[in-house]
Amino acid sequence: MADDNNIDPRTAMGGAEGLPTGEMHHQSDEELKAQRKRNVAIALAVLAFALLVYATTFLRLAENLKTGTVE
Amino acid sequence: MTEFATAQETPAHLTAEPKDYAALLKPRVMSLSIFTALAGMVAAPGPVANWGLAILSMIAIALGAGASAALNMWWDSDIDSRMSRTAKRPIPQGKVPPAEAFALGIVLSALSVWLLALSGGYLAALFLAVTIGFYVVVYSMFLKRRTPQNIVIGGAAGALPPVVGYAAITGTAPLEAWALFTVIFLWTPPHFWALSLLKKADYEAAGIPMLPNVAGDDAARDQIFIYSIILVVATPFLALFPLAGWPFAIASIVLGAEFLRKAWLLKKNADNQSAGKMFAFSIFYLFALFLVLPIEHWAGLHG
Repeated sequence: MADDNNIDPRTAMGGAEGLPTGEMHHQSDEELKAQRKRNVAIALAVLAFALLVYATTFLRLAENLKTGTVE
Repeated sequence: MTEFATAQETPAHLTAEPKDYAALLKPRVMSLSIFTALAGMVAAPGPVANWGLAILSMIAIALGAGASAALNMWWDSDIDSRMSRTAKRPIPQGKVPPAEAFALGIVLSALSVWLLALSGGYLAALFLAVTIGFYVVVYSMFLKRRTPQNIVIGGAAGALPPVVGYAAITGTAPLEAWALFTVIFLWTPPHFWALSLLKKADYEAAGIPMLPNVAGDDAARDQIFIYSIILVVATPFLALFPLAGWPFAIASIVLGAEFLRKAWLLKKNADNQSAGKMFAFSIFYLFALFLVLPIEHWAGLHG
């Protein structure tokens, strides 16, 4: 019988390659802080890009109305 | 679940901050692209009809330049770690995984081209896509590690932003837009070969066949001088086009004379100090030359 103490911790859940191993990584405060900053940056970047597209659409429409391309 | 305390050091990418991703975009190169694109926009015939759209086009061009830089860093991450000049970039430092740099580059490329298509039209967007493709595929993937002419041919990518800017305003790219392209194209070899004289050991370590490494320092200095003559002689002829006027002609002659003097001193002295001065002045030269274009346009002094 296999001795439980000799189980490789990486396969504690019986995980073969590509399957869950049961290994967990607890994020440190520094990692959490960095992750939060990255998340905020992504949110701001998406918002900024949406605003850019909105502004472009608005300005294009205004110009086309002015030149009579659209009525 | 089983928990494991790890005695290993925290992988650097887990503590990566937004500024590490921003560094992938080479902000200084982005600002140069914006500047030369602005010169192309302002130099186009007639006043800029819609500054709002022009600014949005410039943002799109800057994003495209950033996308190229991220893709270049992804492709060159193996050699960047071997060069002192590039070893502190986010990928060699382990701050950003290469796959993330690639993803960022691809997404930004698509978004920048799309945004420029909306704000500056399809021709400008096409030129931006060609610029990104040329820089990443032709320069980074094919030329950079194969031939000492890498930066000569690859310089086309860096020379395109004024054409993109011109096309964003006018929807066309006539000969005069390509005259602006020619100035940056001819400026690129003396600029980068001066740098490669200073960083020869770096390029040697990375196995990049820059001209001084392949043909020797003397040959590189000769080539810098030859390209400088061609650049300095060709640049004042831009004043023959409506996009430039007599202030540009005078500035190009005065700045060109100093450019040529620096190239001559480098050839004569054959030392690193002269190479450093040549490199630094080449940056000032291009900046000053492209600054004259908007100034003379706003002053109504162009051709």
